[in-house]
Amino acid sequence: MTVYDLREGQSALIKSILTDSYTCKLLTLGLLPKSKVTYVRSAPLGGARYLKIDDHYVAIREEEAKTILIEEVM
Amino acid sequence: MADKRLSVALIGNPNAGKSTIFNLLTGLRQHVSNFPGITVDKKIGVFQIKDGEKVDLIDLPGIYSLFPNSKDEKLVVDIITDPTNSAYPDLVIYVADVNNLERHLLLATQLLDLQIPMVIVLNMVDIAEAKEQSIDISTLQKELEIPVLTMSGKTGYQIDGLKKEIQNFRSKGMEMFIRSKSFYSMTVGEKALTQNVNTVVNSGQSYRSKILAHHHEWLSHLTAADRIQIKSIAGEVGFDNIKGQISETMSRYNKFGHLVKATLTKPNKSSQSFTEKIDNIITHKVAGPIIFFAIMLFMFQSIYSWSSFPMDLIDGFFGSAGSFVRGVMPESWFTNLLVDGIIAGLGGVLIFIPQITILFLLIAVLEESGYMSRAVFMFDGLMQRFGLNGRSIVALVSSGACAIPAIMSTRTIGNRRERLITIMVSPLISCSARIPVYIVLIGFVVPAGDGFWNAQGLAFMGLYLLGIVASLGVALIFKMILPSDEEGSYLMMELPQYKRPIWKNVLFTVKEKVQSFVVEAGKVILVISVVLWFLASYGPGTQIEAAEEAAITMSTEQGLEGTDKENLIASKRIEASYAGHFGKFIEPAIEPLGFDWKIGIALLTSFAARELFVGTMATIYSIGSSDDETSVIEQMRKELRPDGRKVYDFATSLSLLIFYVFALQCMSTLAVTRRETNSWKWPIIQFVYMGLMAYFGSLMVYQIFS
Repeated sequence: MTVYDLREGQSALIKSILTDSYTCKLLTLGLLPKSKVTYVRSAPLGGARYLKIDDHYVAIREEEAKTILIEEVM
Repeated sequence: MADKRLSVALIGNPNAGKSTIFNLLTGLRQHVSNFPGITVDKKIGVFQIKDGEKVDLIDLPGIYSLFPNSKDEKLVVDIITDPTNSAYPDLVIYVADVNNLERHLLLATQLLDLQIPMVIVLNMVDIAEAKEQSIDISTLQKELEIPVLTMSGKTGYQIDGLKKEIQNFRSKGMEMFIRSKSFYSMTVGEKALTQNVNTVVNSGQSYRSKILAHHHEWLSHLTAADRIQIKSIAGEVGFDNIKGQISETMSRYNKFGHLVKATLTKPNKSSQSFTEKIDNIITHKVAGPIIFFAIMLFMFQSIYSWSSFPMDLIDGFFGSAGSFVRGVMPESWFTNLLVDGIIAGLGGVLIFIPQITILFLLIAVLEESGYMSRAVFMFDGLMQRFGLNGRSIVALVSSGACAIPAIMSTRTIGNRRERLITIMVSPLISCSARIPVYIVLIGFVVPAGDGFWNAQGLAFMGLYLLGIVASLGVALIFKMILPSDEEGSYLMMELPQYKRPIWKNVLFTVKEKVQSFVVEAGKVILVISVVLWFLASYGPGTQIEAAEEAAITMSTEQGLEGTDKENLIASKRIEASYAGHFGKFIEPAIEPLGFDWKIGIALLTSFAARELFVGTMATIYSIGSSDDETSVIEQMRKELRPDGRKVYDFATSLSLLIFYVFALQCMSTLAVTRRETNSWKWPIIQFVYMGLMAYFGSLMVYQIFS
């Protein structure tokens, strides 16, 4: 499962991130293994997702969400 | 070393509060150059440490790590890996948000491994205290082996402590500001790699060599020969750039993650934060976009409503200054130059300072508060459909103030194609320099109303909307024409906590922007006003004198007296002048648009900068009239065509407005596009396509409505 598969309001723990050229960027934004990720809402016109990572917030695209593997969906 | 002034750089993640500390340290002794040809990338200031010694301070763009994705971030890495760079600092003040220490120390540990002398400032400690969060500074300092201090850029807490550390750096030497042992432990392969790179570039610093190996393709201080050698070394030892970046980042996080856990005490809180509650409304699927457009509408209405009083004051001032000068000085060519050339030209432009200030102020507040990143999030999907990026919204909104900073802000867009399209269409958004032209001309198209929601304000908004629609349409065309490149496009960005804007930051930003508008535009305007005055007052041979005599004879024949006679003489005179000849020369080309030769003169001067339109009109019409007190607008309203119809009727005024919405009449924008795209091709394409849109747009409008 990836962050893309989460429903709005659901949370999970990040397991790992698939390696591609932007993985490092996700890491520097705090999307680290064992972090708690919550899918807060999608953008009004779709495409982007508002995520809560531990206690801060980031916006990523749906394709980017597909590279973040998760476990323990809550 | 003793003679050289100490140079210090502020480095840190975006939203760490670097600019607050920069403003706190330097106050008014700072300067930013926004215009081409000067050091545009750097915000530079000066401050004093205890004994009065002056220190140079550079504020570098915010970056997350030494593995950058955007042009802005790459610039910082370029500087910091090149000790011969003129911006390379003696000492780094690393600014981290103490409330986000889990992420903000990543870059700090990388800089430590570059062995650049550094002091770490944990900023926003006031917010941390309010949240009852505490930090064990002495442990952190011991583990990192360099000075660490908590600070608040907002309250000014510990600013003296920071200055004292800089003093210590000066007096006690750099040893205590450099961590001797490496924070990151390289793998065997990486060690082999860096040793070999060391021999190629003689970097003498193994972590620096590792960064050079990662970024050998684009670092500007490497020679072509260096690049080839580093590439072959990397191939020999099987170095994988991306995997190397990820494993280094993970290893650092693991190491300092423990450190942060051991030093930071956070209270348990489970309730929704303030930021989350606001975002429930502001980024709501339905309410979010409505709020965005409401904010935009409010911005344009404010520009109209709040600025009328100060504008009247400025108008009155220049009016009386003109009369005063004419009163005390003898009638001569010099008095005419002063009143009709300089005072009229400058007054016509300085009057728009209130509006420009309000616009920049509101944009600065939106950026400082954190709202702008929400707009990026909301519109990323939409922007992508037009070949743009969510970040383009920052450039498009900033274009409402000025296309130059807007084009520069596109550096945060990592994808080249998206960035290029944003640059190409930004100047179609109506900038503040168009405001003067719009205000003058809207008066001829729409009647004035009363109250806050006046019709002219709505017409004003309509012109802005036209610019927005045009820019998106053109973006779509570029998206279809330009080949897609293999570079990835990404959004991935932080949504910072909402913060009350720090007024000092907002005011400094506004001051800097308004100042550069006045100074840069003012210089051009002054020169052009004088040139124009000359062109409008003198003509080839004795044509002007002949025209004047003919006019006198004519008025006697027609029995004209007083003002009517003087106006006839004045208009015959300007017609015979150089400016008149010039305007008449291009009149055939612009006649189908409803423009006469006087508008032709203004169009030509506007190609230097749009704001010159009003200055030009002021010059032409104050010379064309005997009454200096009458404002340009009233003078233009009275202006008649040879057949007796008004010049500024509905069709011509609308046609002229359309021309100004589309045409790229700004030399500075062309210069900045050239610099940011690094070629002449794009500014030329930009100029031509906007010019064609302006000409044919105006042609259509005039032919329909006349």
